[in-house]
Amino acid sequence: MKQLDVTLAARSFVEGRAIRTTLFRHRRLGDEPLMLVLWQLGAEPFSLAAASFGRSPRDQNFVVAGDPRNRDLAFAALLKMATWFNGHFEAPSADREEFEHWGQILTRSRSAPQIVVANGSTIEMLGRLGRRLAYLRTDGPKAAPLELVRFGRHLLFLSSHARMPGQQIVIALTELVGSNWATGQSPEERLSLAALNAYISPSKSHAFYEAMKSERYAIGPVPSGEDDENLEPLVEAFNQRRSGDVSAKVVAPLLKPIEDHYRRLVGRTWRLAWDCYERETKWPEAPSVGRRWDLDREAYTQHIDWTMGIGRRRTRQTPRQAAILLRRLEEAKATLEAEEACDDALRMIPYLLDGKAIQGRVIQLDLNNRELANTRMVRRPLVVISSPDPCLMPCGKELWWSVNPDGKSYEVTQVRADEDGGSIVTLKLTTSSKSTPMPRVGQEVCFSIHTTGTVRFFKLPPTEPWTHRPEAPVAEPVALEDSEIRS
Amino acid sequence: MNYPSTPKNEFYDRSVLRAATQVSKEALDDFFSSNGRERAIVVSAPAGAGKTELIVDAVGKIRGRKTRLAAATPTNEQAFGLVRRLAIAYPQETISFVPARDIELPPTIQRLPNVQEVSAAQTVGRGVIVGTLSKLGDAFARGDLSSTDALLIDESYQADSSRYYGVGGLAPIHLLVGDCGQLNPFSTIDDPDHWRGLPEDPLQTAVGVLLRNHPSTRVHKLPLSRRLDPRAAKVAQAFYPDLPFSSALNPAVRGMRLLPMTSVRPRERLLDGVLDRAAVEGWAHIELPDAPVLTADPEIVELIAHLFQRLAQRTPQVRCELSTSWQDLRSQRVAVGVSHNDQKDVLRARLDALGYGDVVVDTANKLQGLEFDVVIAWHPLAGLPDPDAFHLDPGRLCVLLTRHRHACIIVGRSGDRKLLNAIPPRTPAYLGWDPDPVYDGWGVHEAVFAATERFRISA
Repeated sequence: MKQLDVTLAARSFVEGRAIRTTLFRHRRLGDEPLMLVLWQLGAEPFSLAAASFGRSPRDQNFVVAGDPRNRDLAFAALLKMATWFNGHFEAPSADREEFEHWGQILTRSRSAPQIVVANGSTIEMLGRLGRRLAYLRTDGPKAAPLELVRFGRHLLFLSSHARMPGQQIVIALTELVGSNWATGQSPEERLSLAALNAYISPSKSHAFYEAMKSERYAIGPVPSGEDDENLEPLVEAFNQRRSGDVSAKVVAPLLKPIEDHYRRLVGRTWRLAWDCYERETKWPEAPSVGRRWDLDREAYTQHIDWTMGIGRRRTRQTPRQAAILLRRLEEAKATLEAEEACDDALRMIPYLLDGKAIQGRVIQLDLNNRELANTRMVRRPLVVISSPDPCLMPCGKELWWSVNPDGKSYEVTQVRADEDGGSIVTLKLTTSSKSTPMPRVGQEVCFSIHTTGTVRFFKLPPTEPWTHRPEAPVAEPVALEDSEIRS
Repeated sequence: MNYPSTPKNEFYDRSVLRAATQVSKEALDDFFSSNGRERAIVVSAPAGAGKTELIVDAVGKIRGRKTRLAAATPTNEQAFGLVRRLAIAYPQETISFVPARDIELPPTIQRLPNVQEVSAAQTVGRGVIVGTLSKLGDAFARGDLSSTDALLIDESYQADSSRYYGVGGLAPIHLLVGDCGQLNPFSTIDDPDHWRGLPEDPLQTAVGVLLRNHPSTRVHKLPLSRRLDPRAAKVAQAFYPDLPFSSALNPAVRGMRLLPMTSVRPRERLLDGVLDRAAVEGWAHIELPDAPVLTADPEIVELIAHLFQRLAQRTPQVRCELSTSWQDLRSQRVAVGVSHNDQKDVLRARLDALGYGDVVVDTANKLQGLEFDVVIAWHPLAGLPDPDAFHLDPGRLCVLLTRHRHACIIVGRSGDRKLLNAIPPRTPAYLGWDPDPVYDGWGVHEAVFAATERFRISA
């Protein structure tokens, strides 16, 4: 565990309250997100048992499947949700703007929908539902409604896009809130939105006890064992009374006991999720959020264009696609960490403590320093800063000025300890360009390992090499739906 | 590959050398019997087996047939080393290095008369082309680099599938050489196991994806280590359960001696005990008392700094099969291996302040493929509250404990071995992927603790 994490957790426990660890909100939070609260049966992870969805705390739609192990009942509940979701999710794509990308003029949606869920487990469930729905047949004896298939494809997009560091189309509240607050809880305890929120919400008693009381409640989508035990007789009675009938006319009047059961569970998470969301919206948005939102809008637009056009989604990536995605994810993560640290002084603290950044006041500037590079003398400006902290960086370390993280790097050329326990650090700019911004004498500055400069991706051949192709052709899989019909 | 014969035969275990020479010969015979069909040969070896030497040997034989080849490595540093070895081994051959942007060969290698730094487009007609997998793959994808007849990859267990993809089509015949016990490819992303078990997993090793798609690929196992002497090889065998190997050396060929010193200070007597045991036994494992600590544990930093000071005071000397007279141990031949960059940075600053700027301090990832006379290994589990997948990784411990020729001093805390008395952490299972690095690491750590038990000294 890092020193800062230990210190903040201890301080939070001593003070009996959570401690804010950021000055900003590093995600865009829209006015009318699509809030989704999902519930499954304990042992049925690919089916939706109950859900609430809406765009404001008062706009709470609610569905239950009755017995989600039955395909018709499960799909009937999902279809209600899909119809609502597809309309709201696809609407922003109608309003476009043009932008230039590598010399090409492309269009993207002026806005994008934002899906908010309680936790990462709910995003995983969206992915599982997507896998189940996106590949259903829309013809033949067990034809699925088109709306449901499109819903599945949107869910698959959300599930895969959620992996992109810094994306803002799908927000898991445990991750959003957890990254902004330090509490005296273990990482496992912080996975419960109820417990995390109880530590943050002001209360008269110590936050630890508030959190302890709250973590008893399941937040979904996985129910507590007790909740499912309470549900079991209700579902058994429901199935007996409907006698195999799945028509809405028969089923709807029988759902009341199951609805009452889930209304209590889902309703608790619904209120909690909105409380957490609205609290975070009050913090100012960080400067780099806009750049990442642009990327989100482009990803959303591409998804909609593909889904409304060709529509098919690969079940698996090719080795080439996986390799490219891996590099993109690595790059996005590094850029996100850099942007958050350079935007937010509190986010920079861990790097200062780890010796990956140095802050201080500029005490000397030598803009005309010259040195020999290969065969000629070149300009290499020097910046000398006085830091109140000891500097553990080795000479030669490459750093970037935090106000110009996409600019040229500086190199640590000398580190001296001063008599007050601080340090005098000399940095050399690694370019002679006079257009590079330079700090002023007396200015407070921070230099860190973080850069947001573009990284050149290595290109991959368009065709699969023999090393990555199986010797023998792989057998075609049997469609799940077909195998069900045959059995 | 031919190993040294007379006059130094008495240093080597001849039966081990014979077995290794036979494996090398079979691997190269196999390589040359492909008749132009697309195929690969894998040579798997323990630490210090002379893998790069096998590559160098293969280059000579391939060029003897007037065949064009490309040799690739995962990192720039490894490519630099390979260029140097090839240039020295074959002075009549031009070695063409294709650098990535902002990369250039170190001046000492640049100055070798038969080394040339060229762009990919300038490699047309050249016989030996060297570069990283990323650079050669990129150049090949852009059409700047034309196909070669053979591709040789060093450190191929460190190369990931995505980088191998780039160079896969560069040649019809591949020779992949690597250490199967070292660290697997890694990524900074939050869920690197996302593709685990799937054929498209970009983080499986180059050897892994090759064997998955071409299970008939022959894997030759080099059964020796030339770096590790018999004392070290005995412990290191724990890292290679599927690759029995022996040291190429006879016992007591290598030696390390220290100037005798006495001290009344308990700390210095403790350090002397550690250094003496390392000099005599080849191993010492010093343990500080158990305590909850930070990653860059300041007590361990101080202990390592004091070990260096005391080592320098005692004027260490070494002798070995390459130099039978006692030679002063140079500080450049001493390294500290750590698991985290935090640890590296703090130690680097501390050792610099003490005037040990020449001593190498680096993480296990960066030490892969390097060799030193003496290594101080900061144990990955030192002071941890719970063992996790990162710190249990058997490859990390393997790298830290197999870099030395003479002695390895392990530094940890007394609670480290107790961590393994608890219940192992829960690990996910993946269809199509049997290995479990956490459980493997758990077992390897237990075996290494047992094997180094008699070298343990409590601080």
